[in-house]
Amino acid sequence: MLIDSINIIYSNTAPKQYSLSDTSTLMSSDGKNTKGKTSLIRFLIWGLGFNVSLTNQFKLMYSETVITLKDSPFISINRKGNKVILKSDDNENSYSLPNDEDKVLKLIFPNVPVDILPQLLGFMYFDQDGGYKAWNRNVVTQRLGNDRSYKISIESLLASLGKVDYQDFLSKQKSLDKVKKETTNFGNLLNSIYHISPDTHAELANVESDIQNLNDQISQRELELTRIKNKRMIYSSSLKDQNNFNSLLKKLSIKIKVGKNIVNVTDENIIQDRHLNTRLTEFEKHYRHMENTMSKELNNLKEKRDVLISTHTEPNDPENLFNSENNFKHLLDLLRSSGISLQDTHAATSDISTAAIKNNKEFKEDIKKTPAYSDIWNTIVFLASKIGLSGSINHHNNRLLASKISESGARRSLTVISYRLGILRYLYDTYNIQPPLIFDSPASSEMDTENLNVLLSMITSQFSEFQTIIATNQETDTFFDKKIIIQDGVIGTLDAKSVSHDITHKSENN
Amino acid sequence: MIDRSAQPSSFGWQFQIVTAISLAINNINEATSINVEGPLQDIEITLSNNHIIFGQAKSYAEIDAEETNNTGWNEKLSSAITGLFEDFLKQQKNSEFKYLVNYPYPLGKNKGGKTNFHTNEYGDILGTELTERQVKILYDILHNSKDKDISELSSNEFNSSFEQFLKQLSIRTCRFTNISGDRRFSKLDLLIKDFLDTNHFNTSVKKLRQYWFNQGFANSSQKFALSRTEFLFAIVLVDNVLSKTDLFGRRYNPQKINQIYDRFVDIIEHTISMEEFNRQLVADILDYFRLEDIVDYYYSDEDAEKFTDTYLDNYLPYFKLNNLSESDQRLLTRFALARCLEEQELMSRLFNKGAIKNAN
Repeated sequence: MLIDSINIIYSNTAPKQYSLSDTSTLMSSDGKNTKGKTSLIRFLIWGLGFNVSLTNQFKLMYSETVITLKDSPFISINRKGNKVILKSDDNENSYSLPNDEDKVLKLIFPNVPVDILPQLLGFMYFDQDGGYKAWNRNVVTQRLGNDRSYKISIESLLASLGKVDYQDFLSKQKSLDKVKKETTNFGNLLNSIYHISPDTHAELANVESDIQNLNDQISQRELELTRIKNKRMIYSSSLKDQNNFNSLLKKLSIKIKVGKNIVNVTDENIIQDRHLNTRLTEFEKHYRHMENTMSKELNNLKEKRDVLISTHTEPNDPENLFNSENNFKHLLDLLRSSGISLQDTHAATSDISTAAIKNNKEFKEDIKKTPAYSDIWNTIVFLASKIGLSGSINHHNNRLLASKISESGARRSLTVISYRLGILRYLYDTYNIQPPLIFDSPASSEMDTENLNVLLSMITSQFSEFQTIIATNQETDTFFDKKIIIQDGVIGTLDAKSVSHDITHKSENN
Repeated sequence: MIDRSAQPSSFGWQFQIVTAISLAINNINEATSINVEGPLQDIEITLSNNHIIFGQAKSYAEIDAEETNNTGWNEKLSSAITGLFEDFLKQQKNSEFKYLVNYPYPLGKNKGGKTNFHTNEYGDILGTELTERQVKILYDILHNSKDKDISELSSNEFNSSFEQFLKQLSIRTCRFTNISGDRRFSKLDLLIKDFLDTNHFNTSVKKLRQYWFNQGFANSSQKFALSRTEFLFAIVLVDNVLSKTDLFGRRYNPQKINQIYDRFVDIIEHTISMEEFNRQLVADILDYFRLEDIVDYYYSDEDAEKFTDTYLDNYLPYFKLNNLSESDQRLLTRFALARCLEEQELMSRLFNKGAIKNAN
């Protein structure tokens, strides 16, 4: 499926048409930092039937797009508000969004397996800023209305590719969580009842001595912490003095007279203890480390003590708050005589936890056995090596199911891009899925020009079969088949002076 | 904090650290940094000539490690050798590659041979010393590897790389079994003791080993990264020169000296970290012992005592403290000087060029 052109009709402004290249299109404002690129991209995706939000100034009910297609059973997709009309050679059918979203997308992207369809957007579209940070369970882009946003779920993807029953796992996990919550609540109820029972006085005495104990430990450690801080001060202030002395030495350029000779005093010939700096630095590190450890210990003890104090109830029986006979007292009596112990409930809760953990573990193991798990990772490693990430993305460690991506800044964006494109590549190789590949402002995600060029070069060489659309204002060495310049908004209403226009570059190789 | 339970994952991590420390001590002369980035990454010991020692440490956590063949050796070997070979392809010349395990059949019992892997000592078998069958095991693993970097090599490139890789590879079996308590570290402790004895350090082996392990878990992140200085400075910290109460080798009225020290240890620490104090001390040492450079200073109790007697009056003002009788002040100053001279020499022995020798 290739997008040939898009016609945008908004309210009573003149319709605006943009043609796209079959291979690569650059959208740029040619240096001007104006709006328009993101709006155009959102219209494109919205026009295809995805329920993404348009940019702020465009209201749903006044928006209309007509997207003409190539290499598709459909000639055009017309979306107006929430009504979509798919036109093929011999007929046209209309659908209503968002209810028919899955139907519509299935028709436009026929090769995509039905259970992967909800995630497709995450592998073909990179939204400005946040979109470059979004990985597993993060929001890829905003949806219209209050529906759940578009998200990627790697577990769901691998499960569907490897024919592992994800729904089964989810429902099991949900039931276990529910039961665990209920038993925990029951345990809490029992707990509070025991605090109201006549045995409370003995318990209170224990709690008091525990608190006293903790207080002693806390004072001891606070004393110790003060000592450590003082020691650390010694070394850090000596270090400061040493640094000041050395810089002063350079600055003052001191000369001394030895007999008839004049000698420059430098840090080479001045008498000093050359190991002093090492000693001071390492001791300071050591005491800093001790200070951190001791502070953490102190905080833990204080937390423990605070919990004890807050649950240390005064013997004001709630029972006495009720003047009349009531079911609450009856319930307490029943529970007391039931023989159900806190231990029983704790044991039950712990059994359920174990079952939940086991369920999770088994599911993960099943997922990891699927061919897709290693094949997708191999693809990601390959792409990552093209953009210089082999240090952190390599065959030593398959991080596809890791709970988080620890990189930050530009590296995070590049990592996320390799992950998602790796999956796209795998889907292409397996199902011949070839959606348009859309990048909105990759350079805004803290990437410098060099990284951007490396990234674009990887995309154009490894995804040359895809229709690629990149919106950026950054200078780039990469060749694009077509360039769209938007300087006065996507429908040409922002600035009356300039005019937006298409420029087509003839490919040198053709 | 180190998880001291017998969980396989933390045992594996401990083994990584143990081998990192062993490799460091065996190459301490040249080592500039010791790194283990995480449980799945290589051990990297960087040397001063820019060579790097890459280590992959794989362990088996059950008690029967010494006997069984059921160690998962194949999976571990594949993962480790692939990782090392990949590093080799990137690094080539200036590196050594080591595969370290804690069970006696790193290449399995059947075709992998058991006679040439030592079970008792830390002995290396070089890649060039492997039997033909053993070499074939490694060759097959790498040849069948699906990793892009390796599978993209042409047949010729692969063969010549493999041959060169064998020359830089060594395999070693280490004794480290998952038994409870400190006995687990008995082999490592022996190695550390050897290292300390070779270099004439008189430090507690156990404390030093515990200190290194704790350093590896700084910031509760699973990363063991120490520079040469940090690694060796552990000896200074554990040695704790300042808390000694003997004077020039003689136990001297411990009660008295403890009283004085306890009251004034902070001030002593402060004074002896001052720039001017140290400059004066170094100048006096150079002068008295007629040395060209402080590098040439060697400590002896006798000489230190004579030095202190000579210069005592010059240093008294540094320790002019309240509520201290004159005789006590002289005593305090003597102790401070004794400690300084000892620590001066300790630092020299640790950090001067070529001062440290590898174990054995």
